[in-house]
Amino acid sequence: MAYIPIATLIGFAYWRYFAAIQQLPEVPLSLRAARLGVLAGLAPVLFLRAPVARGALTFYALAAGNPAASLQIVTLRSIGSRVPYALLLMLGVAPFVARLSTSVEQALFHLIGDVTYVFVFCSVAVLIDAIGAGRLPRRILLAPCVLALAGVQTLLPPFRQLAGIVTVAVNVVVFLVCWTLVIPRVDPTMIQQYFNRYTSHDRRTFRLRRMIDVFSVETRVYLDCFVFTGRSAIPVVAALAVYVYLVLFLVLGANGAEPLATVVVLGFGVAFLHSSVLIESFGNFNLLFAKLQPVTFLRLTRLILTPHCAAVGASVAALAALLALRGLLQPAPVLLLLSYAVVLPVLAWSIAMRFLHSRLLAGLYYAMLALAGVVLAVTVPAVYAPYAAAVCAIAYRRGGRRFAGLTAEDWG
Amino acid sequence: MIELHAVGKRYASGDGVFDLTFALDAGITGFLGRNGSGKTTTMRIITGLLRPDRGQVLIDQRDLWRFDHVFSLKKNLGYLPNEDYFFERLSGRQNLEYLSVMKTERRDAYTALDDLMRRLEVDTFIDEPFGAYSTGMKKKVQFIGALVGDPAHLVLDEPHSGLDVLAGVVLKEILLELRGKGTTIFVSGHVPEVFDTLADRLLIIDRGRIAAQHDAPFSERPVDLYLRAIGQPPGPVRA
Repeated sequence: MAYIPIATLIGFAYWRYFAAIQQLPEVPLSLRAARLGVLAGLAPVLFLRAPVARGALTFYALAAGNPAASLQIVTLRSIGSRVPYALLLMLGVAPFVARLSTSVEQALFHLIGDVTYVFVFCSVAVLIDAIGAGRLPRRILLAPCVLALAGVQTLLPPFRQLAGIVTVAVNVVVFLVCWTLVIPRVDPTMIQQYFNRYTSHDRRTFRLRRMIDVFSVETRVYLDCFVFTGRSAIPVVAALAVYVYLVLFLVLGANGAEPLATVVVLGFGVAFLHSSVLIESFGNFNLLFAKLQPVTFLRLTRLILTPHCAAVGASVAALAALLALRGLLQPAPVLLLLSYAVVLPVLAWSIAMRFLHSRLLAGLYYAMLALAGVVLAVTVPAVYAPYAAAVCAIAYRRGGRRFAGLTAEDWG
Repeated sequence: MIELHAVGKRYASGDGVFDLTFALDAGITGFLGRNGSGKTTTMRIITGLLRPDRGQVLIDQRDLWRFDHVFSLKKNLGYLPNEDYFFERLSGRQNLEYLSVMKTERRDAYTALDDLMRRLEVDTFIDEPFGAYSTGMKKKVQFIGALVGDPAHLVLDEPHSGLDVLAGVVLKEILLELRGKGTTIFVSGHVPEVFDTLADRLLIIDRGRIAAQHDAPFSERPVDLYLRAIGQPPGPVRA
């Protein structure tokens, strides 16, 4: 029953967010950029391992069933694990799609097209992983074919002009082809090899990870738990995509848009997506490790968030340098961007700690508070700072109380 | 000294531990019990990972659950849980370094245990990823982790499981050395023979309650003391 008022509140906040975007005189974030972000976020799945729990793969490796049927179930699980994140992303993008679409049907088809991307990408990721059976060159050869398909859908004019109808149709056909024609024809031995691979440890992955050994152990923990994980791939790469878009926007010119407002809004997008990994990947951080040590919530926060704030701070500093080069350097937007580097991570971290059992709820709560912050930052900038400070203080105190009271039962 | 006074913890299933009252002095206390009898629950309560429903846990005469005590007490407490808790993608050395940072704020604190690492042959694989270790290797590295910061109290949940014969012997030697230094060591296990020449006292738990306590020298073999405590007479094979 406690969820009803929270859901009502979230619904109201989202409706306000949706309405605020519709009233903006100019939408700085183009639909193409948003969709490219989605694609870019899903692309690493093609190169990394499929996002399926190792336990499930072990089960199917040991089960004497039809290999193709097992692969189909694994594919479905893989898709299922991505759907909530894709839906969250779609909710964030939806107002911009609506703002840029000429009709409701067009907007709906755009969104459905983006959701079908998830199905296509996840099923193809599993297939490539299975067919490649651990051989990276084969995966590298197959992956560009899928990226080309996605690129055609995103970049070629007919797909954009015909809205989402063609995109949806193409994606549905690709998914059905994968499901009914390709999967049943995959060599069963290859599927078994694929399952077996996940029952043993892959040391090659670790050799790749040795590349980050130059950093301190705190940074390596942060990178391993919050960045280099399947769950983090979407927000991290989407943040990178938006950041690159922002840099290009500043380098190539504003093209009629208000540069500072665009930087502030897109800078928020980068920091928001980047910080969201703190919620998404929270389960990867070993709480038992932390709870066994005499470490306070403040010190734990410092250990975890220092590398994060340093990364966002460095990217903000680069943006400030670009603004200076273009003669747009003003204290207000730079301070606002810098505040994103601290405020959003602290908010995401403390809310994730507060809502330890429901990352989805934490994500929604975080999105609601943070987006209300950006609407304030754009519309009434003077209110942003006290709002952020008040929200962070309350959430952080509650998070700290939660951490102090955590017991072994809280993480099973 | 670690003291439990009328400590109880009941799970939703009805299982748990009930009315636990005992004290752990310096030396080695063996903790025996069946699967599910409450050994791990007791250890988690002592280490502050579980909050008891009732009763009091005192470490060096200070309440573990007093907020201003918990951090200073944990500095002096080493715990080897039965499950793996190190980060899988980091190497053993990186895990120990991170643990040192958290526990002592000195990132090289674990290097004081180099000799123990060599004796347990941990140094041969310490730079490999933790996730690639065998069960015994994981146990050895996490045991070293429990010793970081030279804690005065050690709680070890089944430290012998998964160890090879040599490692088991070395572990016993290390525990006896720590006992010589005055460390309070609380060790659980399923195999009574392990405690034959190791433990200064035996604590036997059955169905969540302390069934018996014995001080060394033991009047019988630990296996017989255990079987009697849980109401099982030694049979022909057991004798």
